[in-house]
Amino acid sequence: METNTDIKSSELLKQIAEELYINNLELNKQRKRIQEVLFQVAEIIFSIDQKFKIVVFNSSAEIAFNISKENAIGRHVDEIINLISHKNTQPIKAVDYAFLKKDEVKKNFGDPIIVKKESDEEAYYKLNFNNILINPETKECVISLSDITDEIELDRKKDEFISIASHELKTPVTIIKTNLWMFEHTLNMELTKSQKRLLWETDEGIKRLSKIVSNLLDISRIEQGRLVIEKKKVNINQLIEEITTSYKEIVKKKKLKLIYEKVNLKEVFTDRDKIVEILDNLISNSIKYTKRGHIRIKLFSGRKEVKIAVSDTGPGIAKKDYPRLFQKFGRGNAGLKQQVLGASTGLGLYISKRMIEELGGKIGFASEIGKGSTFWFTIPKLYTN
Amino acid sequence: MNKKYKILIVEDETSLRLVYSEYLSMEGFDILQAKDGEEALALVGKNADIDLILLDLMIPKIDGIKVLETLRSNPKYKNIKIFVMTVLSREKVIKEAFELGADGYLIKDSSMPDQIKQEILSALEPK
Repeated sequence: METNTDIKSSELLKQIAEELYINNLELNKQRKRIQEVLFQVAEIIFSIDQKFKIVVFNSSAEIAFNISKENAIGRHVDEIINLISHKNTQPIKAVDYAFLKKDEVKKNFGDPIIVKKESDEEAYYKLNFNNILINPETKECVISLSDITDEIELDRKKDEFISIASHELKTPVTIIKTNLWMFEHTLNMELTKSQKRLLWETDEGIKRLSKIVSNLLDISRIEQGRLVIEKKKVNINQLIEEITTSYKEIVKKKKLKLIYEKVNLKEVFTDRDKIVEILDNLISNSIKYTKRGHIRIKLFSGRKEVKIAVSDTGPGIAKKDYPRLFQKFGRGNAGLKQQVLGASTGLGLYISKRMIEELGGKIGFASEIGKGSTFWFTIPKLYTN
Repeated sequence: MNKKYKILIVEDETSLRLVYSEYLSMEGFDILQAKDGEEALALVGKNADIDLILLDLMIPKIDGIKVLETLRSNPKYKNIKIFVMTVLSREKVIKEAFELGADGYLIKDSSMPDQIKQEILSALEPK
């Protein structure tokens, strides 16, 4: 005999079953929706289990790697997905990054990780991966590849443009500079004071133009990771003497003193051109901002590194400008107002920082308003390869 | 300078070629000029006594690297010093030039004629 309780339970069961059925339908609908989205997105997406077997493989992946989902699932990912580094064309296998910490992987492969397919070197992809915990025992790694061929192509064109423009600008600049030099050095008559000033200012203008073009070129090289470092034995003392000699004239004109104290130092294994450029940036900055007093170059020889410091008796740098100093176009406020020697590009310190880091050194400064600034950098002491 | 050195200037920019020639002539060098790679090779063929070549790398007809390669592959010219010139520094091409047997390189933008003369002399009259 049926009791009231029995009727109630059976109704409840019926109700639960109905709800379950509806929920299930809803779940299926949602799963289908998610699957459709996953499968139809332009991004290549696939997922692997801890044994590196493929568990998810979307349509874009099917097209890109020319294999159907049915054939891909269950196979070892590195049998199907053959990627190479865009930089050195070394293979990048899932076993080298999946389930590993992102920071470590980025250290090895760069950030962002840019890859090409082994079979198609024309297209570039940004590789992203996410390690997800399905349940406490099961991990999966979802890997996506976004096609960034257009961006890379645009970047390359920009770079090419800067490179061509700089080349094309450098030639006329060189012609003017050389002709002007010839004119000054073969002139057979005495010039008036104001004529001399005109010539000198033309000379300075050309030097500045030339520097801007070089800076632009450096920036494009740095940003593209194309900065070529060529280390050889460098006599730092001799190098500093050569640079200070090139500033003799301007220092005299500004009634400043440029002081350099030699120290005993063996030749250092580094990139000479880069050191010249960095020192040039620091010294010309000091001269630019210093109205009276001196610029002092000091060399310190430590156990592991050489430190070169350029101090001036200039206006000093305001604290609020500190964070911007080494940024691109990050010249401090004083610099904007105080254009003793004309405009700078605001790129010199940024370029110097990036270059010195490439050489394994550091750059920094100390400053006091009204007293002056000291910019220093270090070069690791390497005597051999 | 112990003798009158013969220098070949290979440069397609007329203005630069003339300034270098004028200055180096004034300083007592014997100057030959070429405005492209073809002329350069022809002049070397006729003047085996050239002491040094200032060779711009970006020149028409036969580019500088090719000229350098051609000259260095001929033992007849092994005594001719070759300085390559570029308008920009730090280019891979400089490294390539050294590997092909260049004796020096000049960045035109930062080497004024008197420095070029000094470089030439230190190559031809080593201490």
